[in-house]
Amino acid sequence: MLKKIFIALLCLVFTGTSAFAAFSAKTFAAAKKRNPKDGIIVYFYGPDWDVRSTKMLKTLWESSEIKNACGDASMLSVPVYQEPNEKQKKNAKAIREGMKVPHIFSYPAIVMFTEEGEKYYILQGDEIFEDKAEVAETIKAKLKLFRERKAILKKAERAKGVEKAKLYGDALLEGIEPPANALKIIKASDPKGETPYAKRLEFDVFKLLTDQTYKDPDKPDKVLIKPDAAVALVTKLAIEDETTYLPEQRQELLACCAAYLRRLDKTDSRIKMLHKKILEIDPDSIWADFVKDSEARWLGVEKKKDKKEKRRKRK
Amino acid sequence: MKCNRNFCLLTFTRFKENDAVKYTPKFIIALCSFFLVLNPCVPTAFADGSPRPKTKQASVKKSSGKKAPEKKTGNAKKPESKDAKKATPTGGEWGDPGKLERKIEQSVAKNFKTWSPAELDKFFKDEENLKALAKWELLRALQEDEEEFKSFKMSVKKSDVRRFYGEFSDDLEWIEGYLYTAPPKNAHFAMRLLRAFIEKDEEVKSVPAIKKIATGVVGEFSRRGWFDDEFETDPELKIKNGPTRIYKRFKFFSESWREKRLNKIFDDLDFWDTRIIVGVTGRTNNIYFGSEESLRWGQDNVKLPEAGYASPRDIFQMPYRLWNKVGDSVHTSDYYEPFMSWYGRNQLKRAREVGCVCGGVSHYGATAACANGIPAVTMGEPGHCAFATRQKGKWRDNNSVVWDRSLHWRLWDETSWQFLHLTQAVYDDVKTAYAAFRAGTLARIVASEKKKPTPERVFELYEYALEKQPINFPIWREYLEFAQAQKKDKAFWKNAQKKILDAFLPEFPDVAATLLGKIVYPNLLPLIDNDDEKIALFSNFWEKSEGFGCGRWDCEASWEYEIRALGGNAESNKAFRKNYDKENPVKPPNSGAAGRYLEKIAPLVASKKDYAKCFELWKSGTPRK
Repeated sequence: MLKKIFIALLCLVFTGTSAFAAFSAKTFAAAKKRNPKDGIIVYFYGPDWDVRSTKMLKTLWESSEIKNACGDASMLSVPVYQEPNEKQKKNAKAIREGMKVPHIFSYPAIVMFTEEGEKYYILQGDEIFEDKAEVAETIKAKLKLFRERKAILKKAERAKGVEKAKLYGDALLEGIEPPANALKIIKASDPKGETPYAKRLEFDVFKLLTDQTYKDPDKPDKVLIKPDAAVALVTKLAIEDETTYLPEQRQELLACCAAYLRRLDKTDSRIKMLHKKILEIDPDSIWADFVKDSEARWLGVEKKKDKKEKRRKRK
Repeated sequence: MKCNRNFCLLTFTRFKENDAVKYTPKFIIALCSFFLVLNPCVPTAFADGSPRPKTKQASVKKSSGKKAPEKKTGNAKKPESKDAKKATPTGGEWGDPGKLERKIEQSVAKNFKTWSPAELDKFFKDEENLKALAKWELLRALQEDEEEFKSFKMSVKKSDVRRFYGEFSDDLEWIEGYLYTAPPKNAHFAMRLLRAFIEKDEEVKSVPAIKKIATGVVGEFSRRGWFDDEFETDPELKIKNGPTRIYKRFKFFSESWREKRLNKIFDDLDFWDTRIIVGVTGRTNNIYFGSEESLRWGQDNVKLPEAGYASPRDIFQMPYRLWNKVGDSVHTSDYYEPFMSWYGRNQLKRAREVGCVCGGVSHYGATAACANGIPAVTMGEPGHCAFATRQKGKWRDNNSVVWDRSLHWRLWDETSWQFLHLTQAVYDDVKTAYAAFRAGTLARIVASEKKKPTPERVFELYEYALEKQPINFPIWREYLEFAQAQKKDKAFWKNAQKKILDAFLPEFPDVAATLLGKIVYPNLLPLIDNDDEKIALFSNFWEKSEGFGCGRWDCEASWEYEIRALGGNAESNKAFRKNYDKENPVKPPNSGAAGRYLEKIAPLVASKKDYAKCFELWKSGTPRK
């Protein structure tokens, strides 16, 4: 019995101080100074106005799961006061010194920075209110992507020309933000546009479908290229070519073209063809719902009940 | 402690069910836990042995009111003691509403010999008198609809309905919180809803924050005529589902408060500003900003400190798009149509991801603020939509392009910007505001005496109310309307003008101009034959008004009105503000009385920074910017 208690106590002690390596910094400057190889991960919360985020400072941020998930990053918590007194103002300023605070949509938020202080991901809103294990998993996953990106970029530093552009393209990992200077470097390294990455980064459906000779920003419908030309272009870019643009970008192109045709003549048979292709690319995406809603509203196709709720949740 | 207790219970249950020897060690652990529960070393403050309160917050935060005194909150589920049971009002008097009304009127009259201010002060110090006034006020509100009042009289034959009215009217803070924080329109519907809420959640009666939320929801939904389910398209279901939807709103906010999801500011709100939050608009033009899904999402995904909702940088979280991603214009319903299924009724999320323009941005900001317990309102501007949020007790505009605003939320029908500041000022001092409203009720009671009317006493009572709170706009309006019905003479109206200027200047010139333009001048001007006397009257205002006060206001409309009044157009006297076309203004005539008016006014306004430029532009017929 005593032995069991002893073992349990021992486990308790060790689980509380498990082998995480994250470093808790007091200020952003201190976090940066340490040159952490997994960057800096910052928790923003509202100590004098938001009970949940304050509670989560202990239950989430300071938990061993999150500390473990943060790997070799420097960890920092930043209070965002509603009505700070002078001391709190001074203290908050000192903590944030040197940090480029990103646009936070909702508190609490976990902002993941590179060692240089460039933001690559924000966990906020629904994502941060998932259970602790889920949040830890998200941090781990993002950190993994960040490490991956870092390794690619390291290689890219030594590369030149199209090879460099390709590596930078590989570093545009889905799930984290692209490096701030990615577009500039890709364009400089691949001036002829041999790689698709610059096109992906600069993707703008209206720019693609706009008649560049027509200059009237107030009437976008008037400046689109002719419907036949639009269908031909979209067929080329989104149907025949499956590699230049990302799947959701191809869907957007198809959707935009279909909506364009619908506005001109909703009986145009090509609309359904474009819709079909959207569904083929990803039947569980927002664009698939776009197809169903559009067909129900404009083409008189009755909407089928599906498991949308389930999908949305999964999303 | 709760866990320990549960653990004990669990362990004992298992012990009974299983082999005693096998569970001996567990029994020892359970015993230890039991002793831990009874640990005499635990500080008494934390060793409360009373049953677990229904909500954690209810037990921790017993008081959540700022201004009005809070009553001690207890556990709604806690069995009432014998004494408490005795004290619970049965509401027997509500069984005969007519009798109750007469009884109050008679008892009020008995209180006074001379109706002197000293006597009035004494009367208002007695809580029972205040309760009587509130009951009378509620009865008056219930009588607004004859048919409904008949059904009310039938309903109070039931003891539970009487008990509800008894409890509601015996809680002075509660009944006044309903009656004096907004006009109690459709009171019958409101009371029915409140009763239904209590049936579902007893803490409506006992926990101040829940009480405010419930009262706010019923008050706003009934006041604004939101009876049905605005999200339902089937006409029958629309009516049938109505109260369920309203209950959902109550449930959303009460749960949010209990789960501490609202900004801490919410805990200090009063009845009136709680209304703004819980009464956030549900659907506008088929767009579901205030749906439950939307509010819930806003609470988790647009949670900002108070200042965040007042900051354009923080709240612009969406693409500003005149055409959606596929080129449909925001000016058609097609803009969101292809994205309806994906987002369902979660308009906040739809706005953030699909995009929007001014209306969407403003509703996004205001709805998200309200969902998080921060008062915010949307408002129209010419060709634009803006919103305002309250920060440290002051209203600040956001996403605004011009000063000319029309509030979408207001208490006293007036929509201009200054009225929001005025509402805040009136309720900044709830005690004084209620004192004025109570005196207003007393004035109404006296005015209701038909056999031996004493209008002079009614005037005295209104004046007493206005002495308590000179900026109480609704009392002013009622007082002046009563004077209009009594066909008061020129001296009265001239004196009224003076008193209005004293009360509302320098802070609220727009409010003063509104009262003058809508009630005082239409009654006074026909009694004045001499144009110069009218000019002198109008000059009083411009002499005393030093500037815009709490915000730019439509001073051009006032000049326009006064010019027309001097032109002898009697109809225009009633159309305050309606005659002024800011885009195509007409150069005012400069001969005769109008010319003399301009001559008199010009030096008065020229010396005032705020008015000088506006006056020059108006006088030359230049469209207003």
